[in-house]
Amino acid sequence: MVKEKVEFITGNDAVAYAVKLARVKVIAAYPITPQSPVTEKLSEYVANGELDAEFIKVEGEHSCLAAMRGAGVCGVRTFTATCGPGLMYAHENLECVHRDRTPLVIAVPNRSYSSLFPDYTDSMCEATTGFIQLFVESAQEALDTTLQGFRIAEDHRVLMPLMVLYDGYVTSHTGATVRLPSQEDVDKFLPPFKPYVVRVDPSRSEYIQWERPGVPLQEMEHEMAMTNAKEVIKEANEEYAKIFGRSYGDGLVEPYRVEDADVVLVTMASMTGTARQVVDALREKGKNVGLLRLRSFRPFPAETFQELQKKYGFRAMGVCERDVTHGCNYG
Amino acid sequence: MSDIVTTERVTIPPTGACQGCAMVLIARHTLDTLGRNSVVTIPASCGAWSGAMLIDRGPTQFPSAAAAASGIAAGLRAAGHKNTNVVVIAGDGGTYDIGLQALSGAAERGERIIYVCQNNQAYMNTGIQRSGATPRWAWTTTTPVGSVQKGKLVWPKSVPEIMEAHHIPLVATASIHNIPDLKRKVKLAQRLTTEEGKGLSYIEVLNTCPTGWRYPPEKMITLARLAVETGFWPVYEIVEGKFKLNMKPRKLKPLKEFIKLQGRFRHLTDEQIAETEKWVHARWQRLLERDERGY
Ligand SMILES: Cc1ncc(C[n+]2csc(CCOP(=O)(O)OP(=O)(O)O)c2C)c(N)n1
Ligand code: SF4
Ligand SMILES: [Mg+2]
Repeated sequence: MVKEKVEFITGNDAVAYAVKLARVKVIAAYPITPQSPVTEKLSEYVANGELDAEFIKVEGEHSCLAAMRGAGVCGVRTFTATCGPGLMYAHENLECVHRDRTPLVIAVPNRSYSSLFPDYTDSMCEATTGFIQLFVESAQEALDTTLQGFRIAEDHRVLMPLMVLYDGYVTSHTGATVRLPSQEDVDKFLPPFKPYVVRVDPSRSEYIQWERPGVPLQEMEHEMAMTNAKEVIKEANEEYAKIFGRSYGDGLVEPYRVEDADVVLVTMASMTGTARQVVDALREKGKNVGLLRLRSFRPFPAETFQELQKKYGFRAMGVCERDVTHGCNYG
Repeated sequence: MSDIVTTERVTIPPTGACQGCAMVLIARHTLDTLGRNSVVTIPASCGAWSGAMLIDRGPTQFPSAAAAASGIAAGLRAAGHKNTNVVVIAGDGGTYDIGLQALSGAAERGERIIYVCQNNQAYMNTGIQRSGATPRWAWTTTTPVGSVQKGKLVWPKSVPEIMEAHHIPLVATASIHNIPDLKRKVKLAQRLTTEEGKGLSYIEVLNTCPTGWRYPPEKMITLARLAVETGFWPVYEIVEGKFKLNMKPRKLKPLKEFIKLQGRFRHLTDEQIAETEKWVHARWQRLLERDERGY
């Protein structure tokens, strides 16, 4: 039996709690709305001795990601959180994390570039940076996915950094009932990080030159890692369900009432709650509609969509999203 | 003087730098003095050509060397390495300009980093463009000698003074014609920063760069010496608030002796040389007074 306690907390607090449970070793963070409560909560944990971590209170997000890279190559578990302008400001270093092959986990309460409210301009801009991007629906899923995130990113078949993305305010600031796992159970699910190689290690007696292959080969390695990540995300979802009894579809896509559906709506993150109600209402009127929630935006599970289509035979998919790319007729 | 050559080398020749490059000496003597229990991060700069090393190098982008080093220092502590030197070797561009924010943040946080700036007074590896450290009137490819504007139009800033305002344990300048002085300062930094954990140490060394300054490589040491003897490059240290001028020529040589050797100053008028000398002497006077006071 798992020991969990139930609390009414926000998505941000749920993420911070997961970071504590994950026994993260080095944190760097810089405040930005609506992420700041994560930074504040983690500061409290460290100040109270509840979390034994180095916390670098950086002077900006560009430096934040630089510091996370520096700590990452020493082979320790690292975490940061940012969003919106902060995520974009960090871009130069953000892009390099996957080239270091360090499994940094970043929490991103999505925020528009031009307002404080949630759209995905921030995270979509960073979709090409080699980060795994898992969009989550609720505070509970944010906690669960943060814990799964370390396990996925640190898996030796993956070793790619990972973002846990949840909607600013809607999820980050809204109180919800969240089941908090015990340290003992989390330790079973998430053992200490075992790096594949430690690039910076002054205790090594022999000097080893860290060499990555040339760029084309590097990109191929990253592609393979991202392909592996699909399986690893599924496994983490299953393993987590075994211990804690919670799962999110197959980890990549979460279907809802797709049996005999003619048409399905594809959603991401918190809008899914509303969409479920709409599906229920339309089903009551006799309309055969269903829903697919895309959880893993990167790696993108195209095959899963194809399999689901084959299995359930729906004729059309409508996509509802919170981002727009100007000049190409669609988002 | 027996101190100059370290038996245990960390840096391995050959390097990819230009002939007569002073940066190579700076990197070599800094790292060889600190020894194998060190990690270095080098942002984009000529330092990238310092050659092979027997220590690990941490990653950084051009603007964030001090932040990357902060992460390395924290990561090393978290991994159980408590007494490793964490070193940055950055250019003046990566220090005075694009990297100043990260450096200031790291200094304020009291990060245990030994930060060495090799100042060659321009962005050299990218083609000799002006920096915040380029002297007034100097030619660079972005301060060309045109018919209307000739060379850089403004005075350089002084990052050692900015670093002093961060109340860090060590701020020092050094010159490659006096290696024992540089090595002594590096050792001091090791004690204050790595061993005693008092915060960031900042050492700035004038990198007399033949390629960018337009002079024959064999004059490298001569030029470094002249920079100090004319007051153009004062060599001093501020150790936990105590100020000391380390090289005090009784009488400064005329600045012209330093300037006339370099192509980057070829177009200077006598008035411009005189004005620069006035600027140099005013600074020298301030430093003499500080030396007298001891703070
Ligand atoms: C963000 C960013 N902007 C610009 C550059 C291009 N760049 C690389 S090194 C450099 C100048 C380096 O000058 P300095 O730090 O003085 O080193 P030096 O080459 O003189 O040794 C520039 C402009 C870069 N690498 N990254
Ligand atoms: S340009 Fe100057 S500093 Fe750079 S390698 Fe050549 S001599 Fe050295
Ligand atoms: Mg330079």
